[in-house]
Amino acid sequence: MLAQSAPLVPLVTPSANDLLDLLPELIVGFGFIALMLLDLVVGRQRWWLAVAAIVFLAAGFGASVWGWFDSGNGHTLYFGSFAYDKFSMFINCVLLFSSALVILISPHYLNRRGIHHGEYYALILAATLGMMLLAGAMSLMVIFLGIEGLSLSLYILSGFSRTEERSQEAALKYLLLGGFASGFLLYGMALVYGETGHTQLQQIGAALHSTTQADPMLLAGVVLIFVGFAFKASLVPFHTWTPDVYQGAPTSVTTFMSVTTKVAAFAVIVRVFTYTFVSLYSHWEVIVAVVAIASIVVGNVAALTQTHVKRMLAYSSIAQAGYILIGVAVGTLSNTSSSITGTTGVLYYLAAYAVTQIGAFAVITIMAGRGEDLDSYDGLRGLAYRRPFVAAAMGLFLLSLGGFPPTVGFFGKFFVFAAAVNANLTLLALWGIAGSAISVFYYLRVALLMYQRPKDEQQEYPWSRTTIAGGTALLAAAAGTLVFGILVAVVFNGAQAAQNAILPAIASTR
Amino acid sequence: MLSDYAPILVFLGFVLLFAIGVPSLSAALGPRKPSPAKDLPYESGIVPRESARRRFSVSFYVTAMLFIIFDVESIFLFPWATIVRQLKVFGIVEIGIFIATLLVGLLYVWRKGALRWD
Repeated sequence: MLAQSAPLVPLVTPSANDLLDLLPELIVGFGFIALMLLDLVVGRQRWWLAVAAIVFLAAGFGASVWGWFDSGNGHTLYFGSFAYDKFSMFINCVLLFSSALVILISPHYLNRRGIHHGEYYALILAATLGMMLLAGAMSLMVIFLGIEGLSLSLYILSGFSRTEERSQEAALKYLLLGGFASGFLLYGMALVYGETGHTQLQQIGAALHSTTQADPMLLAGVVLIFVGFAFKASLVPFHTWTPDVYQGAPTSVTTFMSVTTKVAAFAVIVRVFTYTFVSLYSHWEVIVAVVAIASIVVGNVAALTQTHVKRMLAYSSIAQAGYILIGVAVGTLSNTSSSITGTTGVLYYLAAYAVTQIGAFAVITIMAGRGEDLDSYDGLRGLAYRRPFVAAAMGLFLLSLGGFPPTVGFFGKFFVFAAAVNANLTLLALWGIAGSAISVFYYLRVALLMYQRPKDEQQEYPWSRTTIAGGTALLAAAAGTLVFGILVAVVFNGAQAAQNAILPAIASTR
Repeated sequence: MLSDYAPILVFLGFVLLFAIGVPSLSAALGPRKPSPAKDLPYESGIVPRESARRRFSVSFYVTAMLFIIFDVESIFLFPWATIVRQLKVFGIVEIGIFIATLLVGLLYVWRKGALRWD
């Protein structure tokens, strides 16, 4: 009887176009399920899973590239809850490329650590799917779905070394703090929904645009949402889990999460803050700027005193997040006709950060000893004499992280700081430059250690051999770091096109 | 606008009244004859033989978790069932994908031996 009664609202079902435009996400989602099934049949031949994972990621990458050209000026799918624009495709490409590199370095590392379980690959794909959802989310609901999708997978992955206490501690800390972050995020979403009456970003943006007075409840919601995102991007003061989790998690997982989580988190921060809460810019600008400066200062100063590379890179990643956030703090301001805007800077920086950070962590992953990570500074002494190419690559990544030309890291910083200067936020850029100056010390310290003579020539070297897959990943990351640093325009034009097509489009009269 | 929420306030008032009122009334009026048997945990009428605070096999937890997962997932079928006719083919295909995904999960836990008791 129920079935016969007319529905209160006419039912609308998504069109075939919605599904087709969701192809990258569908491929990765299908890959996640397929890998779980494949794990049941491959037995001990787990490297097949890595091959399959790379095939799915490559297919997703291809679909994203196709989507880049197909999406044009962008439109929304599923009645406005998902974006099909160049911005999400740009982020998808960065995410899928990073994930593929991580998969390349994983099998050898997991074997050496004795934790080569088939679920690893499925979980990496699940996390990637969550991040892709986050990159395209146009609705508060989809944002939450994406955040949880990536978080739940990463909680398991960071505790993947089940017998190791440190890994378990990392997983527990990440789970507890991540749970809090989700709580903040949901509370903020509830407040924003309560004030605007919408869950879709486009409608929220329109509703905010027509209000003149910002309600305290609304501002509280905006701040709480920012707190939720800041946890995921490990920004000060929500960074405390970062060093412990990055150090405790298996290094290949750290590689993955330190890069992709930040990329996805900043994608959603840009979409929600720079473009949806655009009319509240004057309210959140100060908070974002202060968090950016705090991240730069705390990340850089804490990184100075570290004695383990994983911890140092964790703090450095906090500082890097601070630099990227400068691009967000700029908002849509630009008082010159210059084409360098905050969002372009953020996008370029994310791509630069992805290849560089993956490379640096990949070196630690590839060099891991049997059953343990060799990430203390002492453990790297003399690396250049035994593994000259790996050490040279590591040196390149460290230079890029420190922001030396002609690496991609230099242009990342340059575009973000230039955007800040263009928007008359010179002070913010100065903080960033000062932070980069400090960072050179601890990056070069590691680089110099690698080129120091080893203490004892007769000593056994525990460093692993570089496998073909690992070497390929290093080569790809190094090539990205150098080539995109020289052919800047390739990535920059892409970032600019992505920025021009981003949804939700800002209403013309501000 | 705010007065729309008045029924909730009244409801909260009654909740408080009953939550505090009924137990205190029963404490004030009821007879009190304590005996050791009354302090025992309720075991459906049987006298407990040993402490309930002992270690359980982890299989219980795994089974309970799997039950919860599949039970909760099946709840999604109910709202779907009410509008299946309006959804037409789309609804059938969507729920087919949903159930197929669940089946993959079941296949996975089965093959991984999570359903085996020892």
